[in-house]
Amino acid sequence: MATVGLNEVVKVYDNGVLAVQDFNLQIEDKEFIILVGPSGCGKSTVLRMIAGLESITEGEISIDGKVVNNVSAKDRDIAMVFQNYALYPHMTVYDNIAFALKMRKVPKDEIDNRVRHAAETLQLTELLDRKPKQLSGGQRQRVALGRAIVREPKVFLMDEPLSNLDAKLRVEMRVQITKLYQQLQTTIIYVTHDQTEAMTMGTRIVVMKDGIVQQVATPTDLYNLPVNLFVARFIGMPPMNTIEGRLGKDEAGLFVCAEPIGTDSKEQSTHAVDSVKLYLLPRYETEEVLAHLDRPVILGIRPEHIYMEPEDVERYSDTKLQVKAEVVEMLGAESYLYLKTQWDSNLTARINDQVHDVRYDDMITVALDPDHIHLFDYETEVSIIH
Amino acid sequence: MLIKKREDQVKGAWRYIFLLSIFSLIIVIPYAWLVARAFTTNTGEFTLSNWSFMWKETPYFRGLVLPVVWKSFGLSLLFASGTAILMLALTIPTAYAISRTKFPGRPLLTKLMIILDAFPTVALLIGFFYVLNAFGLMNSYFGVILIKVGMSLPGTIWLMKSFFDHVPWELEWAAIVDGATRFKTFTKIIIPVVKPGAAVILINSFLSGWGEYILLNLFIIGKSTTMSTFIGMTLNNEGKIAVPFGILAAASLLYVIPVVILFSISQKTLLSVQQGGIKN
Repeated sequence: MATVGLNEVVKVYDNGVLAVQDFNLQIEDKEFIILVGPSGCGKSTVLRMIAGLESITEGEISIDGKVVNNVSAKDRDIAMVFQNYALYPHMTVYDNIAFALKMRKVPKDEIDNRVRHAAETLQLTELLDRKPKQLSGGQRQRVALGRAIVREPKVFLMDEPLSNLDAKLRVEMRVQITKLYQQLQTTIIYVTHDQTEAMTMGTRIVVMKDGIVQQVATPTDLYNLPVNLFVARFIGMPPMNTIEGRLGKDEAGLFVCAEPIGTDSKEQSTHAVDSVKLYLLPRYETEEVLAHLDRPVILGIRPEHIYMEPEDVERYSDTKLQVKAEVVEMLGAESYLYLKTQWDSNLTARINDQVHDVRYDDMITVALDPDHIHLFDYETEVSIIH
Repeated sequence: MLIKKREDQVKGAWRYIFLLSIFSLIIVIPYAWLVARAFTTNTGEFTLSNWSFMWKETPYFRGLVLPVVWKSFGLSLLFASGTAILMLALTIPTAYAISRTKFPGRPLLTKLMIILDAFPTVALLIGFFYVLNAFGLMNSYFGVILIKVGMSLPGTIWLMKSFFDHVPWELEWAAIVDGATRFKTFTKIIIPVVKPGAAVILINSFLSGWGEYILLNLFIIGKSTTMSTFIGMTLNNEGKIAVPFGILAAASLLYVIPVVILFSISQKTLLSVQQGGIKN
């Protein structure tokens, strides 16, 4: 039940590795903040700095408005849940949960009350006398959560708490943690590399890459308005499709002429397949976008915004594409189509229906939803249109 | 199907038990002889007279007399416990520091420890003589304990270090975040987790102290009266070989008893590796 502030925080490890750069974040009371990013992006380092387990090279971290740079971990009043549970193996579940209270010299009967209450919340009452090695993975993680909630700390820190669980259990625990958050109404900072966890649990998400914050936003904003290509591709499953091309303009309006940029473009254009022009909506014709005219860009489109129904293709004829079907994955309620364009780049389409009539090597026409097209600068990968 | 497999397993097990029984005879027979001989006379009748050194001075060969055993027994116990406790007291903090902290010279130190561990104690006897003399520790049991501990310390530190290496950082972090001081974390969390390792070291050094003979007889010149010397007295005196087998067997049996007790007490700890709190 506290605010957490990170101000220009920098972490350089002893071996010279720059793990976190200029990290700025104000976390409000009762927020569920998710730090997400690929492994090695510095998200766990940030968490450990907040916990006080890692020294801060530069900058300030404050909890409840009080700078805690020089406050030791045990006095910061935070609770932490680890990926590998870190239960005390020689203690029973009861003693594991009670340990923190004993360390704080809470009276015995109050410890008992609080431990039993926490155990009830997490359905651990039956297991209080067991040792960690007699528990399943999910039960162990619940004990680790119990050890955290019994403290009633200012801030909860969770370092990939679900990564060690199997897929089914992970979904269950995800729901349980979300419920717990609603019950406890407290500040949670949660680290994960799993974008699904991030999207489903967080009230705000911090996307990190190489120690640098890419974007801080609510899940919806992150999904709809990614600031750069990294965020766009990291959030969402299957990831956003990208089509390299050049921004052009003719009498019909702005368009992206699809062609691979990385290779020698002249050679490409000589035996060019009929170059495909994907037209952008007139409302995007702003000065900012026009500045990229004739320059390489990356067009982004999410799988669910690629349509294959004839009436949709008819409606969006300005953005239609000839593609070859490679694999059709049926998931029951929806289908994933893995497609190949004429210039050999891959696209994934998500169709909200069962698709039966597409076979390997079929040529089909799809259309991109022009309202949901993203455009990124080829060099800086910064978003131009979203 | 399952039952058949289980039957096969049982059959297989019997084969192993049979083989192991035969091999264990090699070890068991001398002990059986020891027990039998300790309670019989030279002619094979049952007697307790071999044990008389437990309550009175016992003549055993041409006017030579064995003293009452308890002084030797107590001294051995003290010597062995001293060795074990000092060993543990030095090993645990050192191994923890080497395992957990990074300091200049740490890689070199760990390498040196392996080399030192390979050094045979006997090769350094003359050196020890000078060192003990210089520090005024000649004829002192404490001096011999120092030598014993010093010589085995590199090996035990290495062993203990590997136990600490297997304690994940998260366990320590969890305790610190839970509000434990560094010291409390060490005593309440780390030590219980590495208890089997500490037990191995405690028992090994106790046994090594309990069985020590050479160092004691060299550096407690002519005055050592520990158990090993006590038994030695029955075997050899002034160059003459005198073997009163009954007394020898009884004294040897007495010598073995503490070891057996120690093992049966500590067996559970030795085999209980703490696990399950961590998933890697």
